[in-house]
Amino acid sequence: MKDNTAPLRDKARALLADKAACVIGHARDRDGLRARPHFAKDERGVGALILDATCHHNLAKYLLDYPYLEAKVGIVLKGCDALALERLVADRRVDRAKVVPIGAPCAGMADPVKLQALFPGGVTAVASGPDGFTVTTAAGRQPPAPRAGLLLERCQACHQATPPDTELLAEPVAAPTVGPAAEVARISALPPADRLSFWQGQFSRCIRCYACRNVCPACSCRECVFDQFQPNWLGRRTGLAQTQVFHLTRAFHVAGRCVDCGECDRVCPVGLPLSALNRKLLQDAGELFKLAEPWRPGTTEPLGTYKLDDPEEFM
Amino acid sequence: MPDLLKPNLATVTKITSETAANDVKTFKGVFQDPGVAADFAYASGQCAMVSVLGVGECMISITSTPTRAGFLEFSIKRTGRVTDALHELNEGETIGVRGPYGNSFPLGLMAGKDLRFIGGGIGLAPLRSLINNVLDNRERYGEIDIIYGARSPGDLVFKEELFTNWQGLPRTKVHLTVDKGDATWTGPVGFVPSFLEQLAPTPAGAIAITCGPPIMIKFVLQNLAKLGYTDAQVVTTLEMKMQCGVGKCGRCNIGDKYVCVDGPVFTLSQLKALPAEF
Amino acid sequence: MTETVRLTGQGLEQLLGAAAGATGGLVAPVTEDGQVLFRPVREARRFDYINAVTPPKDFWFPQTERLFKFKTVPAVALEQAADPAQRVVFGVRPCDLKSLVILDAVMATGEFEDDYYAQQRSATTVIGVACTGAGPHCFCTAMGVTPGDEAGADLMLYPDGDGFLGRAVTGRGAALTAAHAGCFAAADPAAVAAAAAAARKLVPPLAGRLDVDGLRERFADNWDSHIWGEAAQRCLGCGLCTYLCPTCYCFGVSDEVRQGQGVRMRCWDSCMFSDFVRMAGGHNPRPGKLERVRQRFLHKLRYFPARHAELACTGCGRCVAKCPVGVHVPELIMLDREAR
Repeated sequence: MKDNTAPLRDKARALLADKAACVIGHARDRDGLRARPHFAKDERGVGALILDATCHHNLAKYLLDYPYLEAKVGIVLKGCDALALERLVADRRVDRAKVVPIGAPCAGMADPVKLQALFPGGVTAVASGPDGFTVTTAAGRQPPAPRAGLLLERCQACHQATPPDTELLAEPVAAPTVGPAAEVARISALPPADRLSFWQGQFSRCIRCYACRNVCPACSCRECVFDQFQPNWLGRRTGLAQTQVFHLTRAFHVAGRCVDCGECDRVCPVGLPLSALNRKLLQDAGELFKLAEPWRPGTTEPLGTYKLDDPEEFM
Repeated sequence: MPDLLKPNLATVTKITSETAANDVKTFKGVFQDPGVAADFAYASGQCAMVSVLGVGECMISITSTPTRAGFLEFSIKRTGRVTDALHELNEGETIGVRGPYGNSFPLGLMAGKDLRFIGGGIGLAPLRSLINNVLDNRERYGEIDIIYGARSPGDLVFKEELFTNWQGLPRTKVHLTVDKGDATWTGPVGFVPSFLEQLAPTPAGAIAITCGPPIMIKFVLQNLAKLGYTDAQVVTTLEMKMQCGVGKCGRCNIGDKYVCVDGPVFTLSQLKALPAEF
Repeated sequence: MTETVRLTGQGLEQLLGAAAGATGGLVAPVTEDGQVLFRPVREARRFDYINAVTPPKDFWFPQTERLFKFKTVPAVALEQAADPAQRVVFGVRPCDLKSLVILDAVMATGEFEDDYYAQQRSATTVIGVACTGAGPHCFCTAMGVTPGDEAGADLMLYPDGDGFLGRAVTGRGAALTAAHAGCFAAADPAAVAAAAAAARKLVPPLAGRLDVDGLRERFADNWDSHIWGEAAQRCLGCGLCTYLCPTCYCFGVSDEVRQGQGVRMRCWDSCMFSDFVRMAGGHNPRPGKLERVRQRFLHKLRYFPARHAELACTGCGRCVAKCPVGVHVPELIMLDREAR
């Protein structure tokens, strides 16, 4: 992504002048390196907005915090985030008429961990293009960094670089050719016992903080089954069995509905490769039901759909 | 062996349905271990963690009075998982009880004073312990007004006491109201706070003790202030979600207080020093 | 055995090997899929970590802890859970050591002593290791902890060349050095004191950026500040910060029963979850993210100090490193400063 900060601020100013309640975007974190979600409501807030290759957060889910507004809400959407908005609209959790999408064509995001290793002193802007990253620090523009050295892993399998049907802040960017999801292929190729022990090893680290669920645009139930008190399906008990139930239930819940935004991987404090699980189910749903990967608006959701003449052997 | 959170087993010896809707029941329990029964010393206002093993436990105020020994009583409204399970119990079955927890009503502050008990709905449960305690030591206190209301006549709890045991006692008046009457109801109709305002019990030398749903307490406190009661003359109990009852689990934390060990009884002056998150 | 000791790399290996072979075993930092974690291990291998991703809290205040077992058929009866076995937790940093002081203040004091916690504590010998470097998210010194503090440790070690200088801080620590006297050599107390003093001088960069002057007074006076809404609007409402926090101790109690056999346990819970104080009738005293965010940080910086005279934050920096949306203790301290 180019540094779209200037056009974003102009757009945000115009929206707020047009009585938008808020513009949801990003600001630079205090660490001078990462971005963080930011809610601009006035000129001071607009002045803190940034939009560059550090703005990897998918903001769509914050729209759930604005359910009863009269005014509209502006929101910055990259290609992947635009699918998240569609997801929330399809689940009838967000009224599209209340949302003004601000389209941000994106050629890939920088990995904050890699960025920190290369620029421990912080950055002022990070732009990405098909060839690599251009990083600006307080000392000025740095020599171009190769794409592979900084690219966020999830952006290697980009499904949609430019949000469709949206007013764009910059020229459209084509999505890079999607390589095979290497991690899914690697895990799928393991013998069943090894695959089980791989996932059990991963799940054994889970602290059940529910960050993956809370950030997920496909997890928008008004009351999550894992929060339900009566009956208390899972509670707070930890242990491999409980944790597996949580992750596998969630994976099935988003199977065929996941927009593959990779936020679950990003927020996990203990580095679980959750998107590999979701991507595997997307692939399976895709193969079994001839569906696009990830979910696209208007497509059937295999586990979210029923027909009166469905066979009911399982019931 | 750690036993801080281990309940003592008690047998439910009697279950009384209190309301027409059968949504409040009073459970009389007796500890199975006589040693535990002898050691369980409580004061009016204190609570206990009541368990249905396999379902869970919840904090319930003790509605019996320590002046009548040998058993405990809990009046419980059916509102959630544990209270549902309690309501499914039959006489003779086993519950777990641990406690007593929390502080208690300030009998010292109340001694020699006129007492205004102001209750709503199931909020009469902790007050009942105190009222019977006071009545068992009648000579220590001045005039007593029991002001109580419920949504309907059928929702009035402890009917035997309201209409029989507490009636006609010296210097003791029972004032009842309901939000909505029915064919049988000839008494006053209206919410407890406005009923209190009409009765206008004088604040001079009095202590008001109130317990009820949060919305009732809010307006009762306002009306007591209008009647001239100072914050130090008003006592209430707080309800908060609790899990441990012993000041560890953090659940009932309001400001720097834990309701389970610092409460549930607070004077209005103490309450006003807390963040309004209850 | 004197109180101050010297330990060669080989001596440490021997000591930890013996601990690993004992019934309760050894817990030490390991790298698993790139994550440094405290895990039960056969041998300790890692000494170059800043700190583990998750705190070692789980080993003295387990995320899920059985309180007792029970039967519901034919009659209700209770049974005790097994006692925890003696174990050694190695490699605990001063920030996490301080969390023991804070947890002790809650669990071991007041009208009721938490005997489950006391039992875990007395079964656990904690070997602290002073820091030799600070991570970008560390801010311990701003919270009154230094990278050389020994409070909370049973045996405190200070890296010294290829080995360690150390001091038995508690009776448990002295018992450990006595039981494994062959692993230790005597050390000059002055040398140990000098190593400790050197470690205490390390200042994490983030701590230098935090203005903590009058912190408790400031947080006693910012209930109505806009900073809570500012932070809360970003909050995802997950429990990441509370579960990664070495000092968060809120828990819930629940039962599980199957075919008449049950267990009552306590499990960590989080004040950031929307149902934390939601009552059975539906009333929720902290219904929104704002109230919950304010509760968490005021509990750490105002309520806990009022009750226990300690901040409930040790500056370990896990919330800074891992909150996906930048809501953490330094953020609130900075927001508060800017709002004045």
